[in-house]
Amino acid sequence: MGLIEITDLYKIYAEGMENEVRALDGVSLSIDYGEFVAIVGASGSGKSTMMNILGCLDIPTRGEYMLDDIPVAHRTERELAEIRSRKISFIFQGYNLIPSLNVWQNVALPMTYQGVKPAQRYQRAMDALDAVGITAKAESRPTQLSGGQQQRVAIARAIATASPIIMADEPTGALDSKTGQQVLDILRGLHGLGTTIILITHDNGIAAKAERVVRLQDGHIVEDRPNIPDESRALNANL
Amino acid sequence: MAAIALLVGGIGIMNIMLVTVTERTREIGIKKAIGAQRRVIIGQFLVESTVLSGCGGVIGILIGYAGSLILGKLIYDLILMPEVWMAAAAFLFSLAIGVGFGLYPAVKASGLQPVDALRAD
Repeated sequence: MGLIEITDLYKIYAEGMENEVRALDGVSLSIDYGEFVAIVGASGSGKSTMMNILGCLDIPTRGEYMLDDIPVAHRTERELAEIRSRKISFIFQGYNLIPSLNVWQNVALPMTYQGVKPAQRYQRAMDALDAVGITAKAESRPTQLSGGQQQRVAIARAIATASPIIMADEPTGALDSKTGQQVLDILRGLHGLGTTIILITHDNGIAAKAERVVRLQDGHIVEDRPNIPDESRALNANL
Repeated sequence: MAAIALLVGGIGIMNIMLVTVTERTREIGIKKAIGAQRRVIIGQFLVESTVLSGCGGVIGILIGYAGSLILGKLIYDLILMPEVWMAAAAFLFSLAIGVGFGLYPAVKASGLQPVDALRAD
């Protein structure tokens, strides 16, 4: 049994109505511990819906979802919040930092919900900021940072909780190519440490950095293949 | 008259908190996405509404003391001061108003679905 197992999953909006939309139409997928998977698709393919359901932010209309052997498809909101707190961290395209909190407080916030003691929270937040090379900005407000720096803070927030899964929704979408590459390098580093990374993107070039590519189209998985990341391909060519 | 004033004040607090909830929808979504339970969100907004009404209570008590002193001097040429227990009761009542009228906005905030709240501008 993998870390994530979804079976015959549907997400249907306005079901039975004239304007019915099948965002996910009978999708089955298995993701193992420590995988780096890119879920790729054009706008409207269902990839964001997939992330919302995999991330326990939304519930499917029908189907089964097992997360780390826990059935989560039809849990209560309280149970889903608990699962998110313990199992999943998010990195969003728009960073989603809280402007009224400074950088280290943003990083520490999810640990508050996990019940981590204040002193430990600060230390772990600073360690996470150190891991993404942004400790000097710990007391700054998010609005004082560049987009790349804000995304690093968002990554630090994801690291600090020590969740086994990081879901990154278009994490480089608002960044220039150089900064985007740095963010992807950090994600790859985390994957190297054993974290399961699920990367949602519309960009095939970004997806090429993952070890596996799952392509969605009109709510169906139309491709699921292992991928040799660009750097490995270049290394093999040189040997 | 006092009951009407309290009601109007309470509705004012509720309106302010409802606007706050609307303005901070995305923040609520972020907090829920990273693991905040409903009770955490309810607690946050109740604390805010209670602090707001508590501040109003303190200001009202200070105005009450000042008014008593001034009017007592002007009308009766006496130093009139409300009893401490009255001030304490007024303060506690202001806190209760904050909790009472802050409850609906707090519950509304906590009921937002994270996936919807994250889409807010």
